[in-house]
Amino acid sequence: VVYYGPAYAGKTTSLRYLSLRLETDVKELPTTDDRSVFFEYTQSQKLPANDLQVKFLYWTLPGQQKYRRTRHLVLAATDAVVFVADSQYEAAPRNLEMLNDLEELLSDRGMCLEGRQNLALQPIPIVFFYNKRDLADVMPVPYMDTLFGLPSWPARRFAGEATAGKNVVRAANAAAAVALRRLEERIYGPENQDVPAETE
Amino acid sequence: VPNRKRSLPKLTTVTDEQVTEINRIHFSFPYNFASPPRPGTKTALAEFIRDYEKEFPYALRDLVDKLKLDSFSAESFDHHIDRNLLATPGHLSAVTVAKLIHYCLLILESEAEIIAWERIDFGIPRMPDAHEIARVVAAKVNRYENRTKIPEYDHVGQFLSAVKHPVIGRAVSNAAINRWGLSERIGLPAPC
Repeated sequence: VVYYGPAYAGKTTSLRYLSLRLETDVKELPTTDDRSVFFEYTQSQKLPANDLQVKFLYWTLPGQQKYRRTRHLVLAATDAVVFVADSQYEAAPRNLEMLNDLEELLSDRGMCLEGRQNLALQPIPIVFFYNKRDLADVMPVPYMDTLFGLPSWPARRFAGEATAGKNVVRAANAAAAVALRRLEERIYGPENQDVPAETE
Repeated sequence: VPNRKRSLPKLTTVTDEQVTEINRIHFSFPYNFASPPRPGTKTALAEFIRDYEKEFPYALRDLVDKLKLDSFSAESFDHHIDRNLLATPGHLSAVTVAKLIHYCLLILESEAEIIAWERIDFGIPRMPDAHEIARVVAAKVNRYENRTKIPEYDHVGQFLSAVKHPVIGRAVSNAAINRWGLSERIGLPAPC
């Protein structure tokens, strides 16, 4: 599961909160010589799901332009995306820019976001997480829904605060659940539609 | 052979089916795998892999072929490639070797892009050459206290493991030098 979104939207904060709840470490992969920018990942224990033992791996990717190809590299193996959007008004263009960037990179790998129907491409589920809802003067949720085109795009959406952990686990669970459903479909065939209950 | 109890792999020459499968691998750049510095003609990956079959044997079929893995990622590399056996003759099939070369070149492309953007940030117009990219990759790995501390999904750590395989190492080196060039003054700081 890849956490995607503009720089400073709260991807790392979300991942760190998630790792606390999962009681696992966050591993940092340095990206530059100045040691300040990292790719990070954390992983769950193996969890039983039907006949499978599943381990979820959660990645964050730096949003800066210079890491575009590296994002491309990590996205190649993604099963689901949590798009962390910054709810502040001034972040609206950056949010859209990163969503376009995500779609472009997926399309290069023969994939598209689920709900953006393109029968030729492999659909990747996406869950939106509107972060920083605790700040004053943020975009209203329906406004953000319209910004991302959610009225005509059946993608799940959560509004929360990564710093307080509000809805972070719910968003991660929603992404993990759809990723698991896809995995089961690949293994058992599309008729298996059992989706595990979403719990925090 | 590291594990004496393990049966010896069935070695093979590269078959036409394997060549077809290797030719299906999509590269975002038309790499030339011929020997640098001034290759006369272009060598395709399948051709390069075939050229090495006598020097370094391939397995008939390996785990990656059986799993029908299309390409590598940080996770699949860690799950399906045994880093201790990777450079053993006959451990990997020709198709898996080709997929690993593709993966290594994707990693190098991402490193090259990071360096290029950093140079733009500092107002340096020149693009990095293959030697500089290799130096950055080595520097990243050297940050860890020792090799056992490298996280399992670190792309750069995986790159350095993969290039221990002589065919992968040679192919990546040739393609990188032909793609990015090589500073004439090896061992000295490249001119800005």
